[in-house]
Amino acid sequence: MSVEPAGPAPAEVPLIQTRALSRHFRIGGGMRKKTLHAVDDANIVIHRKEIVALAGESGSGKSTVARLLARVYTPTSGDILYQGRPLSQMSGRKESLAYRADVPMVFQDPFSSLNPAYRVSHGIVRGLKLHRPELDRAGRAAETERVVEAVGLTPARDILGRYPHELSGGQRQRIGFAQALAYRPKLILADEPVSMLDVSIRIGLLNVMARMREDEDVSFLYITHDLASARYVADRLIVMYAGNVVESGPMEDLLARPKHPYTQLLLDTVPDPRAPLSVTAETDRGEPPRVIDPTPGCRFRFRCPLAVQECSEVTPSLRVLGRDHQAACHVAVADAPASAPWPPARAAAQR
Amino acid sequence: MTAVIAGQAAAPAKPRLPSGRRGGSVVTAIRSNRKAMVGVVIFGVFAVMAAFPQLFTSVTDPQLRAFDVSLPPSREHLLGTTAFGQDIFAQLVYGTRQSLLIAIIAGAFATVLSVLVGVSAGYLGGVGDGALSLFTDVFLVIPTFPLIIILATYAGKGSISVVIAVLVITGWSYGARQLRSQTLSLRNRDFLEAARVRGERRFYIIIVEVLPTMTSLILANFLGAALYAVLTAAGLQYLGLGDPSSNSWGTMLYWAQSQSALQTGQVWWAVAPGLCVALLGASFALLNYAFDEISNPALRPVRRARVKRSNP
Amino acid sequence: MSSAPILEVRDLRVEYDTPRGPVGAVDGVSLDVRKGEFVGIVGESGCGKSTLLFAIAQLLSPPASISGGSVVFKGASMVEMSDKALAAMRWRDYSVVMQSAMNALNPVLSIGAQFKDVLRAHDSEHNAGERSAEVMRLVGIDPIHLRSYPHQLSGGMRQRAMIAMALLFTPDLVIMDEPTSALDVVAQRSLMVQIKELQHQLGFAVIFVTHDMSLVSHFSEQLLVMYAGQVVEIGPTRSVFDTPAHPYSRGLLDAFPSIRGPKVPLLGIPGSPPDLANPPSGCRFHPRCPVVTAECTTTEPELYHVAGANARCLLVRDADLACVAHAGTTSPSEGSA
Repeated sequence: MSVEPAGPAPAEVPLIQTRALSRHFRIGGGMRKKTLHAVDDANIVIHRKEIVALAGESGSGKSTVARLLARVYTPTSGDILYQGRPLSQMSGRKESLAYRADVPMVFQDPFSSLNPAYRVSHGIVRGLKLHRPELDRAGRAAETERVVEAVGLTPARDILGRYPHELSGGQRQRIGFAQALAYRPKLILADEPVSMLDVSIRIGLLNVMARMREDEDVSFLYITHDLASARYVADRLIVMYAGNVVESGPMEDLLARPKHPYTQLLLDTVPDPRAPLSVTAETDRGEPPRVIDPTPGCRFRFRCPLAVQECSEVTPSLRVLGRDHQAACHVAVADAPASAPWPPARAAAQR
Repeated sequence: MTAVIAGQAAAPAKPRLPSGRRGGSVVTAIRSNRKAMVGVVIFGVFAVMAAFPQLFTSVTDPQLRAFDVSLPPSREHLLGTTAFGQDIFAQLVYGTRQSLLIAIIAGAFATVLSVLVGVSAGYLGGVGDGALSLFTDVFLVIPTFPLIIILATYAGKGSISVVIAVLVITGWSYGARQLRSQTLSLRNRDFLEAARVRGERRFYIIIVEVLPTMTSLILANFLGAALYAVLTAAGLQYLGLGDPSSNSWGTMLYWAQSQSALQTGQVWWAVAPGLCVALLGASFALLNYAFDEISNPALRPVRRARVKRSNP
Repeated sequence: MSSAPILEVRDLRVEYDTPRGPVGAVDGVSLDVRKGEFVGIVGESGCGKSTLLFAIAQLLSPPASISGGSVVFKGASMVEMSDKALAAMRWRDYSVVMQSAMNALNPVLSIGAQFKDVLRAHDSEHNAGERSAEVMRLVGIDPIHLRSYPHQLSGGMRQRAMIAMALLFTPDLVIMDEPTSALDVVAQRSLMVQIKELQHQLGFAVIFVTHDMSLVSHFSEQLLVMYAGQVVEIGPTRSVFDTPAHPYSRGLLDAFPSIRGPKVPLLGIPGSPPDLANPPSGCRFHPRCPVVTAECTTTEPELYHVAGANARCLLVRDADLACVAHAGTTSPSEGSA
C-alpha cells in the first residue's frame, strides 16, 4: 500500500520497487505450525545512481529483504518490480541470469565469502563466463584486471594470483565488490559489507562504494546496523523494525527530523566520541522481537513511550510526512520539532 | 568448572604468519610429521614389494610346492616352509600385490560412491536428501559380515572382483554419512551462497565449489576405506570366500588354519600374514592421523611448553 | 578511588611458539588499574589486546606463554603464583567476562545450575539460591530466569547473565573481552550503562577490551590504544579523545563518521597491521603513518610523556605535537587495505 511521494515525482521508472513485499517462514514442527514474519508489507524504492541504506537491528528483516531482491527467497506475497516489470513474470534461465547480472550481492563475512580452494580470480572469471559470454579468454582477463583495479587493489595481476587466506579482510571484501562490478550491474545488494572489518578499513570500502556510484553508475542497497556509516555513504535511509519498514526518506531529513520513535532511539544510541553522552534515566532495555504469528498493532508499541490505544489495535502503514519522507506511526506528526532526546516528551506528541 | 575456563572456548587470535600452502609444502609437511613418515615408509616398503617381488626373494612361483614341507626358518627360507612345501616368505612377498590392489581399488570405489551419495544428499536437501539418506542408512545398518558372506557365497568363489565388489557395497555407507555432515556444515557458507546468487547450476556448485574444499576429508575417507578393505578382505579370504588358489595374505591364513599351522608348530605361517595385514592397516591409519594434523594445525601435538608453570 | 593501584602490569611480554620460532604477540605492556577505575583497551585485529587480557587473567595456554614482565594484583605476583593460590583468587578477587555468551555458557545446563557450579567450585555452596537471585536482580534480570537455558534468553540477557556470574563474589576487578560485540546497538548501549551503574554500586574496577573506540569513549576513565602488540598511547580518556598524540590514535578517531555535524570525506588508515613474525624496523606504525620521518624507520620509539600525553611516537618525543595534529588532514597515498 504505497503512497506516491509528495513533491516532483522522479521522471524515470525506479530501478527497483517493492509493493507490499512479505516473506514468512514456517517454524516449529508437527502440530504446532507457527509462522515467522520476517518481512511484512515492505515498500522500498531504489533509483538509478543512488545509495540507499537499509538500517535495522537483528530480526528487522533487512537481510531477508536483500535475499528477496537477490531471488534467493521467493516472496510469500507482494511484488518486486525491476525497471517496472514484476520479477514473477520472469521466465527461463536467460532472463533469470540477466537479472542476476544486473542485481548481484556482496556478503558480510570476508572470511567465508571466497572459496578457499581457489585463487581469488576464480569467482570473477566464473561470473564473467556466466554473465558476459561475449568476452573471450583475453577479454575476461582484461576485464578481471580492470575491476580489481577499480576497487583499489593494485597490482591487480599479483592480487589475482593469490589465495583468499593470503589477503586481509579488507582486501577480500574489495574482491567481493570486484566480483559484483564485473557484471556491469545496475544495483549492488551489499549485506553489511563492512561490519566485520576493522574500523580503520571501513572508510576505504565505503569510499569505493561512493566511487562506484559516480564512475560506474551503480546503485547500492547498503544494509547496515550502523547509522553513522549509513550517513557517510548513503543518499536515502530506510529504517526497519521487526519486519516492517517504519521510516524512509532522504538521509539528512531523517537524521534531522526523525518521525518514528524507533528512528529517534537508534539515533540517540549511536555513540559519537566527540559529543557528550546523552545518558538518561530511562535507558531503553528492550530488544527487537521475533515476530511469530503477530496480532494487529504496531510492533514497536511495547517499547514506545508515545504509544496510545490505537497503536495496539491498528497496524500503522507508511504515511507521507514530509518531502519524500514517510513513516509508519500513528502519533508521528508532519511537523514535529527537531530531534529531541530520548524519550521524546509526551506533550509534543499529542495529536 | 563450567563457564569459568571459557578461555579455552574463545582463544585469542594468533598472530598472522606468512603461509604459502600449495605445492611442495605437502612434502615438507609429511617429512616433519613423525606419524606421516612412519606410515609412508611402511606403505612404501609394501608398494615396492608388490611391484618388484623379485627384489625380495629368488622364488618365482610361490605356489609351487618346490621344497620340503614344514621346515623351520633358515637362511634359505626366512620364515620356513608351509605344510605343502612352499616358501612362506615368498608367498608373503608375492601376496602383497593382491592385498594392496584390493585395498586401493576397493577403497577408491567406495570413496567415490560415498562422495557421490553423501555430498549430494548434504547439498540437495529436502526430498533428495531424504531419499539418499534412507538409502545410506539401509546399507549402514545391515550387519556387514553376514551380508558379505551371503554375497560372496552367492556370487560364487573365485575372483578378486567379487571380493572388491562386496567390499565396496558394504564399505561406502559410513563415509557417505560423514561427507553428508560435512557438506551440511559447509552449505551456508557465503561463498556457496555467492555461487547460487551468481546463477550457477546446482551440480556445478557441488562439483566445482564444494568438493575441492573437502579434499582432506575425502582423502581421510579413502584411507579409512582402504583400511577397512585390507582387514575385511583378509577376513573374507580367511573364511575361504576368496579364491583359495590365489596368492594373498588372506588365503595364506586360510591354508594355515586348515592345516592347523599353530598347533603343528608352523607359527610363522599363521602369524606372518596376519602381521602384514596389521602393518598395512596401521600404515593407512597413521597416514590418516598425519593428514588430519597437517590440514588442521589445532590437532597438532603441542611441543615444548615453555610456560613458567602450567595452567589448570 | 584510592590512589594505590590494585593491578600493576609491568613490561609484560607474551610469545607464541610457532614452527618458525617465537612470535611476540604482546611486547612490553605496562598498565596500572586503580580501585573502581574503568580502563578501556582499544585496538584492531592482531594488535594483541585479547592476548594481553588472557595473560593478565592467567588464562594463556600453550603455545602462548608469558615470556617476560610482571603482573602484580593486590600486592601478589600472579605469574609466579601456584595453581592452588591462583584458583583461590580466581572469581573471588577477579573474574572474566567473555566475548560471546553463547560460547561461554554451557548450553545444556540452566543458568541457575551454572551459577551453582561456580559457587560450589569456590566453596560457597550454601545460600547458592539466594546469592544467585541477588546477582540476577543486580543486573536487571528477573530471578525466575535462573531456571532458563541459555538459548531461551535473548542476546542481551545472556550477556547480563555472564556479568552476573562474574559478580557472584563481588570481585575487585572484572576483566571483559568485547562483551558487547555480539549485541545490537540499543542493547549494547544499555549494557554499557548497566556496567557503569554496577561499578558505582559495587566499586569494582573494569578492564574493557574492544575494537570500537566510540563505545568506551563515554564510559572509561583511562584509555590504552594498542597497535602491533605495543601500547601506542595511554592516558585519561578525554585527553586521548580530545588531543590524540599518536598518529594511529588520530587516524582511528578520524575513521568514525559523525552522525551529527557536517559531513566530511574521510580517509581511514591505508594498509594493514603488520605481520608480527616480521615487524617493520623502527616504529611499527611507520609504513602506514602519514607523518613518517626518516628516523621513524630506524629508531624504535618508547612511550614518551610530553605535555600530558603518553605516546609511542618520535614526534611526541620531540614535542612536535603540531605535526601530529595535522596527521588527519594530510592525504596519504591510496594503498591496498
